[in-house]
Amino acid sequence: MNKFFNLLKKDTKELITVQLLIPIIIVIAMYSTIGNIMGSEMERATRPQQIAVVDFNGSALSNQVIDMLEKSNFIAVETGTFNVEDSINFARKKGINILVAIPENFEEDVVNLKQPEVEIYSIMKGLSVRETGTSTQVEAVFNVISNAISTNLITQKFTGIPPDVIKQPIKARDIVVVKDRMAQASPALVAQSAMNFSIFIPIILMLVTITSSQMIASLIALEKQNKTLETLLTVPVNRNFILLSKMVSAAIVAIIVTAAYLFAMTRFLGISQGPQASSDVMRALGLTLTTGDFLLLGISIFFAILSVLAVSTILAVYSEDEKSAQLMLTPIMVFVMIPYFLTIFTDVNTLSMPLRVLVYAIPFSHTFLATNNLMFGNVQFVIYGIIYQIIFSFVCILIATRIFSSDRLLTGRLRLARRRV
Amino acid sequence: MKAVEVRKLTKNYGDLRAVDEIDFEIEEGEIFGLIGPNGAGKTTTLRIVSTILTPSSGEVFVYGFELGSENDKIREIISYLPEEAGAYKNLTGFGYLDFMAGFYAKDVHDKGKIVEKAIEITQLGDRLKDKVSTYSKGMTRKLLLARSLMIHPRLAVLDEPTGGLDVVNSFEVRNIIKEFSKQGTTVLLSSHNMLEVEFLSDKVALIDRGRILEEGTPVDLKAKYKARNLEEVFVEVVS
Ligand SMILES: Nc1ncnc2c1ncn2[C@@H]1O[C@H](COP(=O)(O)OP(=O)(O)O)[C@@H](O)[C@H]1O
Ligand SMILES: [Mg+2]
Repeated sequence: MNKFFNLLKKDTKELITVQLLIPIIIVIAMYSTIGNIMGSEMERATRPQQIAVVDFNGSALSNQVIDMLEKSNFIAVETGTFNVEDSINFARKKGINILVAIPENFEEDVVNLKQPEVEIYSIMKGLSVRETGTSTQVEAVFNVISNAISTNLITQKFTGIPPDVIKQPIKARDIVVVKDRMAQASPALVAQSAMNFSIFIPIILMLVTITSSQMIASLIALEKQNKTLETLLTVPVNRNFILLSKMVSAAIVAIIVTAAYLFAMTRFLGISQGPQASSDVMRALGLTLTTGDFLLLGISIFFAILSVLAVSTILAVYSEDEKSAQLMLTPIMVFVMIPYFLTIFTDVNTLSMPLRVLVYAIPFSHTFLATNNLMFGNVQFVIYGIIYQIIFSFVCILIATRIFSSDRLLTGRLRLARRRV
Repeated sequence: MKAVEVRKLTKNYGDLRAVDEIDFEIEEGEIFGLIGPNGAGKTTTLRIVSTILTPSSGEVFVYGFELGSENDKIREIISYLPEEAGAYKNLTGFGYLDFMAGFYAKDVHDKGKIVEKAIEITQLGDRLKDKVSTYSKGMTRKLLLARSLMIHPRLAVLDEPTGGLDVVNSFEVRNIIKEFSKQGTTVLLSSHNMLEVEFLSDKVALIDRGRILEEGTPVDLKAKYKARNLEEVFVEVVS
């Protein structure tokens, strides 16, 4: 076992290089910057917004409208002129993006149900995210005004009736049904609450499998590239230990890398902030994972990593250096991305039969599908998937250990190169 | 007991026969040189003796251990210096020696002694604290040679030990090999530099296209072919 730790220490050291750390640091720094910008934009958006107002009408109703705007998180600034051009200049000088012009015969037209036009000017300075934010503000301004006037009209025409009842004569009650359970909640809320599972677990899986694959391929290819493999193979240590050490250190480093990305995502982008109040709803619907479910999910992830390690090993043996090894991994990337996108964008059961068979043949698919199946109680399906994954990884590891104790580890590349000429 | 016995050893790569029914024996403590042009089958033979390639047919014994069934035992007592070898790029020279010593040492104390021996062989001094990636070819070769000799193997298999080195480095490497042989290590080496092998070896075998054409001490071979050096012997034998 001592010899094994000697190997493990060396392999891990070899993986943790500047080339590995730099992209991680860049991504984390990028996330943190994006997070900061998004945060300050969000904060700006919730602060009361200044809007410029030019009131050509000056009636009780137009005053009421301005009052309503003030009450709805806007700060109305009168431009002090009765000329649109000057008002725009005024707004520009003050750094205000929106100018509302209330027309001359505003009150009269409203009373006569003639739908007067209120002009809302958006003063654009560029096409950045901030500018696109103005469009939602314009909509908000319009809604506030329109709402205020309709409330006003209803109170006048239907005395004694609460205006909200006229505006919304019915109420909706959302009930979500899952299998034999139901709960009062909107489907959007349920979907959002499931985000943690439907977004995070696939990302973790994708990161962990792809990184493991790259790590083990690097380790094997580097032995060839640095011309250290031959020496290592004559050393008195079980060949299976050499393979095992590479697998374990690749997995360890992959898990660390994934954890780092995940930390950056949750910490800086705040993706994980699903609505908390809805956990009762989820429990009522049975859309939670029990300890047993998590155990199955863990087993499934374990075998997904094991099979990706074994397949990558087999592919990497045939490459001559690190670069060509990464190229060899392309099919693995594809086979990880297929179930990843499928779980995010569609339901596998809606696919045609041959496609479904293809998806189920990919051992990683079962892990990607596991969360959903566990939540919806298809435990049996998950167990079948795990059995398939166990068989798959067992066969691949058998092949990998065979290769590791054969000539092919040394001559694999040479033979390929020879065949080309 | 013979240090190495090779009987009717053959290795095919697909249709290509790289080694063709060769036989040779090495006495304990001897330096045995396998000489021949590029592509003669030297590396293939040494890789087989070092347990990293499996022969297509034939038998090999290393200190009485049978190749194939007793590879683990053979690996305990040999060390192999590959023709084109390197060390882990982001380890220091010292780190590399420490890592390799870890496979042979019984305990920490033992490991320290092995590494100390290697440091003495390399004569690299403080440069051992630098990353291997900063080493010159000669330094790397000496590091690797030290790695293979530091454990005092009973058999050292050295493939072109001076290959690609300048005159001074080659000279030093040859002296190190001689020194270790005096201390009891049996050496099986290969070279396409026949003059070098003549100086170094107690016994040589001339190999060409997978076959051993002639075998004996350099003195006997020169006498037999009335040649001034092994190069002339080789030309005689081939023609
Ligand atoms: N892995 C391999 N696959 C196919 N042919 C090989 C391989 N290794 C060596 N050969 C061929 O075997 C022959 C002997 O090679 P080698 O043992 O390296 O010779 P030497 O070391 O004497 O130069 C050469 O023709 C070489 O091309
Ligand atoms: Mg050679």
